[in-house]
Amino acid sequence: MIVNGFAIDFREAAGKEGHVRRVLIVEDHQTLLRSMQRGLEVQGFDVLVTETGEEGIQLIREQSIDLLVLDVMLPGRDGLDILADLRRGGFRKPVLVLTAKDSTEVRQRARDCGADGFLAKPFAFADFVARISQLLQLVPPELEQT
Amino acid sequence: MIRRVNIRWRLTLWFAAAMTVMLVGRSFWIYYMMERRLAIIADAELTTKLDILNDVVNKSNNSADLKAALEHFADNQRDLQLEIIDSDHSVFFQSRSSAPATTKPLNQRLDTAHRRYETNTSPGGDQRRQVTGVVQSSIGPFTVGISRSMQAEQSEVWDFAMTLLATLPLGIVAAFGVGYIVSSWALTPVDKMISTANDITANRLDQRIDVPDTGDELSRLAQTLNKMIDRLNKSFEEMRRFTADAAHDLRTPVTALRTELEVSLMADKTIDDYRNSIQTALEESINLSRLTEQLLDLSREDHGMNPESQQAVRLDAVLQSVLEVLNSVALQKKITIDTRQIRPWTVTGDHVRLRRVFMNLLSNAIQYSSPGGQIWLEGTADSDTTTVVVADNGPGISAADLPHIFDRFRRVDQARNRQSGGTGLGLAICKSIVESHGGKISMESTFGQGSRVSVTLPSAKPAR
Repeated sequence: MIVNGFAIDFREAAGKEGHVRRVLIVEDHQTLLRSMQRGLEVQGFDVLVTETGEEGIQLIREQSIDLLVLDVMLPGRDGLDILADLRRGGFRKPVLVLTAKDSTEVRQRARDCGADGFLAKPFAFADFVARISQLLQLVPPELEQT
Repeated sequence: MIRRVNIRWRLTLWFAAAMTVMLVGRSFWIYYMMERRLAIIADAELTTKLDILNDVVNKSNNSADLKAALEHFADNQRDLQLEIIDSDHSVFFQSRSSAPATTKPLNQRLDTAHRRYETNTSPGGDQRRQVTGVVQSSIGPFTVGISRSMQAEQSEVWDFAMTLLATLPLGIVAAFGVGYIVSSWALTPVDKMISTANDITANRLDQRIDVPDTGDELSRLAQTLNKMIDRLNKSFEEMRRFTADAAHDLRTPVTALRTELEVSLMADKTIDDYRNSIQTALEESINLSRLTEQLLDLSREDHGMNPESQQAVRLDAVLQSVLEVLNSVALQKKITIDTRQIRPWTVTGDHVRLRRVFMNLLSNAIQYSSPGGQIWLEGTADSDTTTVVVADNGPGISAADLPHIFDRFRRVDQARNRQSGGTGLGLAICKSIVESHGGKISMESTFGQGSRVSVTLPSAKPAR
């Protein structure tokens, strides 16, 4: 993955001067998960994926990631519950929430639970990448400039 | 025209009409009763006079004597008219001779106690009350008629009747007023109901009509309407949830399809890469079409069952035909299906849809059983219901997921659904079909040990 990331290092979104951004995607739809992973990797990101919230929490504990992409409807625990837990546990990285249920209530709840961005399905992959890039600008400038 | 008048005015009119009839009737009744009463008083007076006259006549010894006595009597009773008719029906004496005698002679053999009372109208239009009786004298029996004018009394009664008549319009107006007020008061709850009902639309079905706590027809009407709104609300709610759920379940696969194709255009370089992407997209399209079809099935089920498709269905035949289709899959996975408990069960329902129920249940059982597993088909039947059980020794369902197993778009183990090509709608469709047949479906399961799905349907009534 790292090799892949370096290979397309010239792509804009994935960070500069050898700093490859690592994105974790939690989404229970396998096909969607695989194609998002493939697409983001092509864009120069380092991508971790999992289908369950529990595994996602585990991965966040074990590895440092720059951004979390989280689906709301997950088997077992609700994505937003997991997010609220992560925030309480001190996770400060930007989070982009994906949902098939686009309503004011869900958006409000996502914000309350600590989401930085919200993307309703179905979306264009280009929008998805744009949102991720936008959210990554939000990380502190000293990281940007290293 | 009348039909366009509102109920308030109709009630008022009816009330006023009834009151008018009552008032008029009462006036006539009072008039009649007063007249009668006056006649009774007059009769008592006339009777007394007749008794006195009887004495006078009895005491007289000859005709001249009698005439003088009568003359004297008549002079003292100027307001009375006296007519004495002898046994030859000729007038023996008349107090006022200006008019011809009107007394009709009585049979003079009659008892002196026999009296005839009547009201006559004199040629001058004067109402006269008359008593006629028989008196005995030494010179023979006479018919005596004593009459008096009722004019004074009559005019008094007439005045009273006029007073009653004069107050009648007042009474009618009062009846109108009271009728209007009472019907308005009675119909106020209806007005309220109308305004609430007008406010209720598909989006505001949470509103309810105030139920007056009178326990009367209107409060029952309000309750009935509220129950109807409840049912409407429930079905609208279901529809809304269904649409939302359906949209939700379609959105993710559509996103997957789109993302797959977009990423492929962006990233793929070799024919094999494209081939893989197209393969994935195709699979996703197939899933989408299956999902769409099942959503349509479900919404069709929601519209209820066509009673014409109800017939006696042999469940054992349905199970056999399902097994014929699924046998090869079961064989591949080395799953044995025990069919020894199947009996010739007959239920009432739609053959095609019942077949879909058992197709879903059996293919689920086969899909989720591990290779080498076992499936049992069992059942019981009585004259009311027939229950068929599909049991397996597969992985089972966890206790947390079990209550939601028949829910639409349940989230339990969606990964498993996708791996096996399921949409998560199969059991919801089974439930819809069984319930539209008036039956029940339930599942028992022990995680790790297997599941039992019971389908209870109404037994077919034997043909007579």
